[in-house]
Amino acid sequence: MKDNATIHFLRFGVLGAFLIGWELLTGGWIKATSPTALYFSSPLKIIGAFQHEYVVLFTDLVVTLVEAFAGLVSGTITGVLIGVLFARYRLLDRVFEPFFQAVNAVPRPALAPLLVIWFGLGMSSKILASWSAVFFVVFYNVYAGVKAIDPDYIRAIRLLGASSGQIVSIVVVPSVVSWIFAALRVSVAFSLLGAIVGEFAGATEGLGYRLLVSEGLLQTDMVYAILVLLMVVGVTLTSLAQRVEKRLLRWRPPAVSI
Amino acid sequence: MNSNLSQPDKIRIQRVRLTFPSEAGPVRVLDGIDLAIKEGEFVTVIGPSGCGKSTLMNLVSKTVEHAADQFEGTIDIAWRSNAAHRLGYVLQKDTLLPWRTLEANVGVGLEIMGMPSHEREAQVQSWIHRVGLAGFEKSYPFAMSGGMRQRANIIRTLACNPEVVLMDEPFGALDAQTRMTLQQLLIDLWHAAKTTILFVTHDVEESILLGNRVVLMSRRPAKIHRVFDIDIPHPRSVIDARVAPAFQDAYREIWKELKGDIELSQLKNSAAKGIA
Ligand SMILES: Nc1ncnc2c1ncn2[C@@H]1O[C@H](COP(=O)(O)OP(=O)(O)OP(=O)(O)O)[C@@H](O)[C@H]1O
Ligand SMILES: [Mg+2]
Repeated sequence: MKDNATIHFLRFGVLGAFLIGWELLTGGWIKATSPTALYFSSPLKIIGAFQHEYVVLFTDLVVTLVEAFAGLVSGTITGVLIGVLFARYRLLDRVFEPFFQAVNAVPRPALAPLLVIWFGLGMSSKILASWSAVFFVVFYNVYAGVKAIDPDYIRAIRLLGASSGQIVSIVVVPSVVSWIFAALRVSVAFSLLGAIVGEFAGATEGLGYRLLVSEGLLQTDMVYAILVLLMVVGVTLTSLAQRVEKRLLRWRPPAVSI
Repeated sequence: MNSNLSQPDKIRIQRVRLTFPSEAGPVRVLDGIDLAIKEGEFVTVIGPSGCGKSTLMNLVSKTVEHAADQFEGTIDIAWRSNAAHRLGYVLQKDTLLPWRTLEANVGVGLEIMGMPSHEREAQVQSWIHRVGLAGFEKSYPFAMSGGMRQRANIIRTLACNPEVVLMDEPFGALDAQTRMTLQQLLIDLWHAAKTTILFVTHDVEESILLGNRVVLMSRRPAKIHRVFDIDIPHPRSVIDARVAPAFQDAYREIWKELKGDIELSQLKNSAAKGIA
């Protein structure tokens, strides 16, 4: 492998070439009046959109982030609770398993309109859409995690004199937490996805809503600006989640590369 | 060296019989086990695979319940305290928690006892030093060798200062050299603390090196076949003890019994084939 500096240099090179090429093609050679400008915008125009509309963009971003965050938290909490319950009680598991699979099989975007009918155009329908995306990720992870707790650990800790409560706090909770964090990157991405999809289905604010509105008004620069914003947010959040995961799951052996 | 005859019995196992239900009908595993162990004694148990050594340890530790029609006899332990950690049980497979560092793993028993953390840290440190694991306090189990893990596994139990320690083939999965180091370590730890230890092994040498007495169990349904007193003075060295005359006498004697057992079983097998 090349050293990191070279890799970074090459990456910036690729990005720079892409941006300059884009700007030249759309700004210089293709006239602003030509219909192609409508499709491709240009880096400078996108920056312009940020300059003019940053108040709107920022407010919408906050709305979407709040929705996603609420979905992430509620989805994680309910996913953990129900995951642990299902792993512990076989009857629940056996009875509800097909229903869970069926609900989980419905693509989330298809569910969003119903949520809007039920909960209106406000934030709650978006939070619910986000929740529905996060819940199953966490649920299945925690379920598998609890099932995978080595009974020998429980036996050994009990032999050291632990009460049932101590077994939960010393063995069960740490394993469940580790599974939550293993799922964190995916659940963060899903929470954002759920919020945007919810906004598509009907909203009055948020980045998803703004995207639809800008599309309707043929404000291509704005559409691009929103996409760039979503990209930056997505990358930031998932790499943050990855950091947290790495830090908290230090105890796992590094993955073997094949 | 049976100098502690005056001591009261710590563990008294009397007429213990145990039957496991199975599809082919009940299987008798233990068939009248009688054994008394004195306070501070180090007793090793050997016997053919599947004869019921682990089962016996589980019974002594009371970690498994058995229906009244399957279990007979009594197992009494003269406890000095009521503490939950008065009995320690070390298994062959180390069960260090993978998400805890070495020091957190070693301290887990003390944590369960409710020892305040500053006291715990000092104790954990001293145990880690005693077994030569200093410098690895912050290591996670995945980054430790099998021998290191088993060391941590053992001191995790000993740190709680149990009255009785049961060990079921704790060195079974280790290479010869590591095993010898840990045998010496265990001898020294026992010599310092004089805990009552009941130690299962399938290794004749190990049973003699470690035990004040070696209990030889017969094959299933198991009885106690013979008990050997090992007159090698303590503190023992695993290297010097091997060449002590008492070691060699015991080694010869035990193998003589085991050979009889092996030949007998081969005889039985060929007889069974002859009939079929
Ligand atoms: N829960 C159980 N149900 C039915 N049979 C069992 C059970 N546990 C053990 N056995 C049987 O009891 C016998 C004794 O088992 P045990 O594990 O005590 O043997 P062991 O002497 O420890 O053997 P090894 O030296 O291989 O560890 C075996 O034949 C085993 O098949
Ligand atoms: Mg066994």
